[in-house]
Amino acid sequence: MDEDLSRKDLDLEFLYLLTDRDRIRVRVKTSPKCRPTYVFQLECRFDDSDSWTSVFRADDFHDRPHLDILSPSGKNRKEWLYDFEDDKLNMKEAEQLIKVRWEKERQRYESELN
Amino acid sequence: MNLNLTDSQRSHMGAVNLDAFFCHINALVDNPAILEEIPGGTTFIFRGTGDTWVDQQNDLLAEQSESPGRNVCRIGSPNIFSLTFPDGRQVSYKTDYFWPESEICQLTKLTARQVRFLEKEKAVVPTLDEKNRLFTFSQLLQMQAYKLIKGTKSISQGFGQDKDVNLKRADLQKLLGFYADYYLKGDIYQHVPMFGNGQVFLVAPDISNSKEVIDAFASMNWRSQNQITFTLYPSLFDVFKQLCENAWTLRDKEVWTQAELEQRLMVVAA
Repeated sequence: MDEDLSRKDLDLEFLYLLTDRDRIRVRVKTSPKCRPTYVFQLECRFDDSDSWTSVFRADDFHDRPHLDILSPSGKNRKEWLYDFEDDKLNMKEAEQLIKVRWEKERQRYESELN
Repeated sequence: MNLNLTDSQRSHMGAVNLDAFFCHINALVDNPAILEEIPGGTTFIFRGTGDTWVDQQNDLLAEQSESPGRNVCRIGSPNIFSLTFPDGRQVSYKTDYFWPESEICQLTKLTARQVRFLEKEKAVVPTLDEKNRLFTFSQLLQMQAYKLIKGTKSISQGFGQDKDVNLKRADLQKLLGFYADYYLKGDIYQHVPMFGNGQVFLVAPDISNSKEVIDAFASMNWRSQNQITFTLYPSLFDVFKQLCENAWTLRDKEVWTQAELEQRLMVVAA
């Protein structure tokens, strides 16, 4: 498991199934008083595999909202996002980015696998 | 878990579910009391996304996902919304039916002028087709709520009286928005919206569980204001129950024919 996702700062975790091969893992705080407050992680299944792979993540660990672009090679990359200094607004911005990018990131990861 | 989808089908399904997902997560974040009730590790699958094909795929996904020890939760609004009264009468609404203004007036007992008022205030905005202004089921709930609020002066319970719906446009939008939002989220039908200090609070049947309200009370500067009025409004369940009562009356008075009833809703005899 990736370093950010394994941290214990967020106390509630659940999954949303988007398709048979795509799901979003959500981790949030039930009483958010300080960051981190959210993690949205896209997880996908590739080829005939039954296991889920982390592909792309939006969170506000490290005190700033950012995206983690994950790679099968382990060379993960961070994209820092504008900080609205409002956790809910940052979360909504992250949602927009996931809506726009989820398919592209899935395809990117799949191409890196091959 | 396999649905044998093409790439474009999977893309469509993912996009529709993502929209529904973010609607749900935003609602949870705005209502921490609900968030705390979700068991950790729950897998959510949507129904009633508004896209029939996606709903069918989500049903298949739910069937394939269920296994011992796995907490799978279906969320969203169903295609049929039913209520059975203790005497056995049953009314079921088809939630994908679009209601013209004339039928809204018959069913909710709002006047056409009141419907136009809500439209003018942008509290309930209809969809337009070639001939008609059409309303969705969630908007029908909003309008029945408005009728109940206007017609019931005894709803306020101890926090002040709002004898008429003298709310500012933005406040009316927020209040009626409660009914549409919580219907679409498919949850907490018995919770009551409480309006005060420019905000709509969600109040559980047992007010002691409404952490959001208690926090809001605690954070208010009571000394700086002469009077703060809080008003409790009907729950979503109260609104739906009234709609079912009204449907039954229309059936009894034969205002609508059997065919019309079946098209709009199903009324089952006791």
